[in-house]
Amino acid sequence: MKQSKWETFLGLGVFVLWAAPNAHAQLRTDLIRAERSDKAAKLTPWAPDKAERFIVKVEHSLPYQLLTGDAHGLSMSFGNMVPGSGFAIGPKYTRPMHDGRIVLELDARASANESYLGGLKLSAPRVFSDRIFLTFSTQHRNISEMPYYGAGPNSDKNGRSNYRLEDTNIEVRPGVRIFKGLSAGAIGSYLAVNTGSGHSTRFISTEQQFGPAATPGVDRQTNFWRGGGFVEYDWRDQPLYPTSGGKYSARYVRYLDRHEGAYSFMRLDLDASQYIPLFNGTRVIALHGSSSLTTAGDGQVVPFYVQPALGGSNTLRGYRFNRFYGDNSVMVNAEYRWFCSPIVDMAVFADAGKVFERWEEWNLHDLESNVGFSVRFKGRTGGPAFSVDTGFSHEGFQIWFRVNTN
Amino acid sequence: MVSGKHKLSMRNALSVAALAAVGTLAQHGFAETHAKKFYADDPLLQEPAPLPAKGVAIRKVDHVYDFLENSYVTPRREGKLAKHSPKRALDVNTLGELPDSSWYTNRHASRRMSIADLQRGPGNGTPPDANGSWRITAAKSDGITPGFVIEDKRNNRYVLKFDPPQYPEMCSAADVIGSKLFYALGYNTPENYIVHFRPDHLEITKGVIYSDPNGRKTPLTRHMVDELLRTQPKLADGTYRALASRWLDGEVAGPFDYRGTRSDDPNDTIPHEHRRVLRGLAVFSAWVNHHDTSQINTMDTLVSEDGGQYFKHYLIDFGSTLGSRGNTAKHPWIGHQYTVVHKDTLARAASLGLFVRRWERSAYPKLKGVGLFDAWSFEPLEWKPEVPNPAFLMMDNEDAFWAAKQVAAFTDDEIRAIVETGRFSDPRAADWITECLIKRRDKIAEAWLGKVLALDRFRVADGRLAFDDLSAKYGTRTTRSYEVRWSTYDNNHGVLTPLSNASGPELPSGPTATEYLAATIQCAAGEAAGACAHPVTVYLRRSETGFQVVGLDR
Repeated sequence: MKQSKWETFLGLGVFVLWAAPNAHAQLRTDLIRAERSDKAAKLTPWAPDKAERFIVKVEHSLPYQLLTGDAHGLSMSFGNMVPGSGFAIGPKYTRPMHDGRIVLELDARASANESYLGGLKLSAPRVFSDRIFLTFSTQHRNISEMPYYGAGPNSDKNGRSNYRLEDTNIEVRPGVRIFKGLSAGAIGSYLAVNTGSGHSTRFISTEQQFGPAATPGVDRQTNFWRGGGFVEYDWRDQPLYPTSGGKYSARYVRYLDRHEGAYSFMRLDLDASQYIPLFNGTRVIALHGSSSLTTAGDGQVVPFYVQPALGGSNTLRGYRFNRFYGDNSVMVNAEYRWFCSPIVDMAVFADAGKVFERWEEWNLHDLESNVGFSVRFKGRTGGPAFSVDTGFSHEGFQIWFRVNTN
Repeated sequence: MVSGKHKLSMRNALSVAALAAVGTLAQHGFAETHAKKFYADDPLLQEPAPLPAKGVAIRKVDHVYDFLENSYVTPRREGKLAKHSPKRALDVNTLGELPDSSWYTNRHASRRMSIADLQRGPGNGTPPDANGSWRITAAKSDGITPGFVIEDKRNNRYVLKFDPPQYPEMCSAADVIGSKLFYALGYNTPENYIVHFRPDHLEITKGVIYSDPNGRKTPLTRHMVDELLRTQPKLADGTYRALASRWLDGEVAGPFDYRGTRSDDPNDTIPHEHRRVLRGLAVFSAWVNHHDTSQINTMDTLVSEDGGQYFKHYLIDFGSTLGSRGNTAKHPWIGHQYTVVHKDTLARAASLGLFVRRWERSAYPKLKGVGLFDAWSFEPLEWKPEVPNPAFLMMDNEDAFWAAKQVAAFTDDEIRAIVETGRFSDPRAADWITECLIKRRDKIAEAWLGKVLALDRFRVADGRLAFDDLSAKYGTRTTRSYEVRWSTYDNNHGVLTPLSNASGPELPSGPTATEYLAATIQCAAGEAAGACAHPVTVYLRRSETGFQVVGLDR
């Protein structure tokens, strides 16, 4: 049988295909060209692999965008409203308006123990060439289980009660930047407060445990006009997680009782932080002191729900939240922080403070104290995105989880 | 149904099979040829002309994926490969050098550039035209530094980037200096310029969209531009300083990966982790502390030539070099460890921070434009980018030697000349950067040139094999004596046959018929440790004018 042309070509084709690539490979360039020709026959458009596609899908998902605040200004706000009020979660919306001249922030959170919070803030961070700033805010809170142990430094840990705190605050803060880091401003606000029986069944309700003599305001609440001013100087290197510099502030606010005529007073809050860097900021000694002083005129008292309080993640970390209430407070914190890795820092700290009745007791004697340690996981802004503080005091230990979504 | 006409008969099938078998044998025969060490055109000084690329899709990199993969997968994959089955770089010629290609061009180390050439870098003749407004055509929302895409009167396009407000001059100077240095080192880099302009020089083109940090897109307004400039220091003459990076030639095709090949590039046949041009980048990055060597700082473009398009590979964005981290000064740990560290973290946590590392004790001057950059804490063998890089992990001593000798080739004056292009207003800043780069260069030379027998530039002169001892040349060690032993080399079978009584640098005169000679160079008797444990074999090929160096094994 005669071989067809097609079969001959096929045989030759196979030969050429198999033998030809190297037939002229007497030059390095021929080898390279052959490899390239080989690849040219198998080109495919670039496409991400399966794992990358999955990650991209996650990043574009609404939950991820809400968590990271990238959903066109809408994000999830989570964490406690106040310590002990249970884990709270809710939406937060931020929108720059008028080319960023005004920033609108809306925030709402709710927790499983029937606490909720809602707020609106309008701020104009830079007016008149960066000199003036103005903030208008309003917030309504309904905290179902605010702890209360009684007034004064000798309150009993086992005497815990709880009350519902419901307040609405409308506030205006105009301010001026005097020069770099130094600013001052005024505070004008209307605060409406209501308290009620606590939601917790584990603890007695405050009004059942404490009478109005020991706990002013437990029987009657009022609304306040608040007015005052503040001045602060901030020269910290990075406000979210300072390694050097300091911040010093003083705030004076006068509370005018609008209804009862019994709860007018003034409050002075002093606060100073100093950060001392060691070894290029990989170790930091942070020192902090604060004091809140109140004074009421004749026949006036400071209601317990606006009294200075100590205990919790920002004050005495070895004690329960708002463990100590008093007309006045003083507190000092010292912390030594060290670098473990670019995403983890550790710290040991000591806190001490007290509440007291009279200004003459303003000293560092008879302080409640605690020590503790902290693990901080740093986020993309360099500040701690998540931290766990554990404080030890003679009343036991407390663990504080903090989430920073900034 | 198969037609009878095209049905393969048994006989004809056997014919086809026989032809195929002959083909296979022929291929096998050629495969033997394939195995030969040297080809007629070796050493290759330039890769062959690229094949045209078609149907190219723009490659996009997901930063989160890139970070996760390189932080958690790469150390286990490439890290283990490098340890257990290392592979020599595949993009080198028989001399261990890189041929000119779309990735790399031999420049300063092999073809000395003048001071003017070094300062010119990829180009210094086309800054944005100051005579006319700069039209903002896009707002730069990727990367970590804010900026705009502008077009000047001549329709040249640039990316205009600003320094972080707390660190004036730092990022822009680093970006310019980095582009010049990496250009001189052989890479493709963009033309970068320090520019000064007045706010009214910027003109917003209608329809420009700005994406804020929350991903919200809004039309760019004059107020937004002013807000950005408000954070920038205004100079005495009313101008602002910025970096203008000229748009790359060709069509943007997306970043390149440091691993694998591009599936749509016919010329990309060598896995990138096996490219010396990318492995050796680890040493160059260490020199200038370029910690952000992720894909985002690379770019492929499609350039047109001879009617076709082919890929050209660039390094871009050098704002993370020297003391700059782009939007802030470097943290002191940068260059000393990866972002994600496992073993060390627990130990440091337990130590209460009482164990202080060298880099934590370094003294950094507070000079405008410098950021955080030093030489004292620099350890070339320990340097790390912020995120593991697959090509860097695959780097071997030969790759590092190739790179280190290029770094060492820069003189003090040349380094100073390049640093001057950063246009620091405080001369002490330029002095400090220069001093650090010089000291870091010396540390690199000392560290890597000592890992192999640092002999280079092999040549035949006056009937002798001559070479440079780079360790002695750059003063990293005292002059050493070497022994040379000669062999003939069978290129087709890869067999070395020692020549008796043929030693010393003079070429042996005996084997007149041989095409190839091989000289094995080792340290003189008594030294066998360290670099001396690895002799160098140099191959010479007979040509019409005598023997010429054609290759070497380290």
